[in-house]
Amino acid sequence: MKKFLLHDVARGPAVPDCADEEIGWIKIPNRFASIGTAVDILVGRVHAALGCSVAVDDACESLRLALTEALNNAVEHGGLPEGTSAIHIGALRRAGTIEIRLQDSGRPLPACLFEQRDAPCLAVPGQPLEDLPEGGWGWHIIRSSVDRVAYRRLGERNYLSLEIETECLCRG
Amino acid sequence: MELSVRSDGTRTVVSLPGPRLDASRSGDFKRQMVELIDSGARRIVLDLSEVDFIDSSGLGAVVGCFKHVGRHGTLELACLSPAVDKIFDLTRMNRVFTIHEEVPSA
Repeated sequence: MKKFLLHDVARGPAVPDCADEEIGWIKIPNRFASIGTAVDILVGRVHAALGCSVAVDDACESLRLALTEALNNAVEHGGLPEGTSAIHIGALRRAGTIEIRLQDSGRPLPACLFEQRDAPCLAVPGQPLEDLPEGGWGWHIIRSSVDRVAYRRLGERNYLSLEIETECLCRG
Repeated sequence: MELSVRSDGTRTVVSLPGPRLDASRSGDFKRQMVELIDSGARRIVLDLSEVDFIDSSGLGAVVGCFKHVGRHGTLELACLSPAVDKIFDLTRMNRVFTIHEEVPSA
């Protein structure tokens, strides 16, 4: 698997990934029906690598949610015909973190996603029924579910990284 | 997916088959719910006890059904797993829906 260095949009350049331990990679067709099973498999491998505890269960649920939303975005907004190309998802472990990576050849993510500080899609008290949002939560859910998100466009491919810290899980 | 629907009096309890309500199933779910609402169901309780995961697409479908019922009826939720409860919390939809720990008595 080709190595790449991500630019951490939140905290500056990421640490080079020479010390990564690969947990697994899965290649899936870009269609919604493939997402659930692929996420179950990859998150299951992460869970097995981390061991059993309530804290690990919670962390894996957060990864499941973030990864599902990222894959939904790739399929829905990538602009590629359904099922015609593959999305690669992988999990890596390094000291104190688990990182989930996604690679695909769809359209680049819009830059405004990384500037979004508030969450305009959230319901507010007293909001008229007809104005309730029926979507637009994906990026907010991703950012709320993991500790770090990084993205880079290299050539014609997207590289997205979702990272959770695991030191507190090991202590639990 | 096939919804399990039972009516007691004026109330309709809809149970979703598990284990997930995601982008691959949300369209089918919403279509069946809209048919149910259009056929006259007005007081609906959505039993989510079999569902252990909902993504934003599934949540959007639930909100769409809630809006389709409108002010002339109710759509309440019951039996949310911790993972399902989390997405309602993250999107603040837990402030919009009435959520029961168990399916309430008729």
